[in-house]
Amino acid sequence: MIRCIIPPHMFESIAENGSPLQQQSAQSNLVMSAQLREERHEAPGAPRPPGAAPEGKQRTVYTAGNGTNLPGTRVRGEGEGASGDAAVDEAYDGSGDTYDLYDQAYGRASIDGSNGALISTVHYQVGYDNAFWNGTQMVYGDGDENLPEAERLFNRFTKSLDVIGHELTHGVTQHTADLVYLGQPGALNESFSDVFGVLVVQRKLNQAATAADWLVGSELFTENVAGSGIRSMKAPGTAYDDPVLGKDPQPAHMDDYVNTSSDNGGVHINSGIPNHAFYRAATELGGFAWEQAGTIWYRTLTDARLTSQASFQQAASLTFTVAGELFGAGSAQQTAVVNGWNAVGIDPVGGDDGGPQPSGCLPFARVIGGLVARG
Amino acid sequence: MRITFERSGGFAGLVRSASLTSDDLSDTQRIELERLVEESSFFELPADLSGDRPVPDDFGYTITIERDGTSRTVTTTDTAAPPSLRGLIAWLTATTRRKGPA
Repeated sequence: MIRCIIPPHMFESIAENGSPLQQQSAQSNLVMSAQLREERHEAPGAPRPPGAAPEGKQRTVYTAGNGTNLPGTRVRGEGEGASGDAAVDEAYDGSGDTYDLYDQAYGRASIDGSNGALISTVHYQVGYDNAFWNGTQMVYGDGDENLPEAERLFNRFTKSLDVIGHELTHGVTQHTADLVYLGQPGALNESFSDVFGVLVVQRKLNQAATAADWLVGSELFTENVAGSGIRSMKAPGTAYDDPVLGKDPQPAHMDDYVNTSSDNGGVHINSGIPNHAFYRAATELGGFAWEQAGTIWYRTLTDARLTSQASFQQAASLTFTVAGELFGAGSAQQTAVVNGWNAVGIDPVGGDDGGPQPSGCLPFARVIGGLVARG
Repeated sequence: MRITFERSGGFAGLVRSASLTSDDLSDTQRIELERLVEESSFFELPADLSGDRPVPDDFGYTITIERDGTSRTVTTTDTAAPPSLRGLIAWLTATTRRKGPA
């Protein structure tokens, strides 16, 4: 299978803005890229008859009516107007924003790459301060809605757009690297969800990496909590410090890696380490984080060389390899990846990336360099 | 009867631990707790009820009950717990719930 594909949005940009020769070259690459993507999407399943593939977003939002039955009662389907129920409409809109990031920035059609349905259930249980991906759909609780306002700690979980992006990304991971939800691969699974969750928000706000707050779940805490969010990718361990909830336990460096049996080996704790590596790489590169840094991370997540048991070291090494394949060895992008991982105590250079090296792929920087030289 | 309860995981990854004894409870609470422990057949449950495949952002629970010189620890999750155990989990969750300052 062909694995090194240059991000289509970059060709799209050149096709729109480049010189005539650049545009011509980029257009032909776009056509080829689209064909390759189609091949990748079709590869795992049986051949689909022409015209049978679903088109665009396929969202449906259900309510559990404060119970536990999933998916529950259907409230809003694709193309239907706002329901007036904030949780329903946030789940609907947020699924759309997440779909758009994957589709427009990375050329991925929905969770499964084949425009599969995006199913959400809101109003799950009573006083349920959580959201999760159950392997098939997203599920959201309403927080502490059943407590008096002065005692509430959590708002409804659809209130933060990055939570929706986080849960959907668990679905993307399940369909790609399928990182085991335990220990380091589990913390990577969590980190990819946080990364693409905040990228959905940044893209929605048209926000540059250096202007973003890099907080995960910044709308979840009520004003009764001394905290700015659930996690900080910019400064892991500083998101909250509250008399009732305690202090954010996330490390930002391998020296502070937490060994624990709880939470599947601390998947929500040690994710701070790869989260911060991404933040460092993205802010060093500047511009929009979903474009360069996000593309490197997306290509890594969907690369067959990333095994389901990948360690931090293996994932880091593969981001280095992928950055080199996309942008060229020694490029600013690859250097930012190295600096990002070095900042958290991991050296991605020359390490075991978990798989054999590919051949026959043209580095991105050489493609661009060639276009510029001819223009 | 003495119960140790830990909830971990969830999107926020907040760990909540609490332990309580029957003596801490009102008569009404104690009767309800004993009913829920019976309903779950707690002392006959397998130690590991975590399910085959972890569900991302699921709550994880570890419950230890000591009664009449016998102790049993059961580990499970929000989505994998058998229906008979859900009542006890809901009761423990509500009883140990953290609330804001008011």
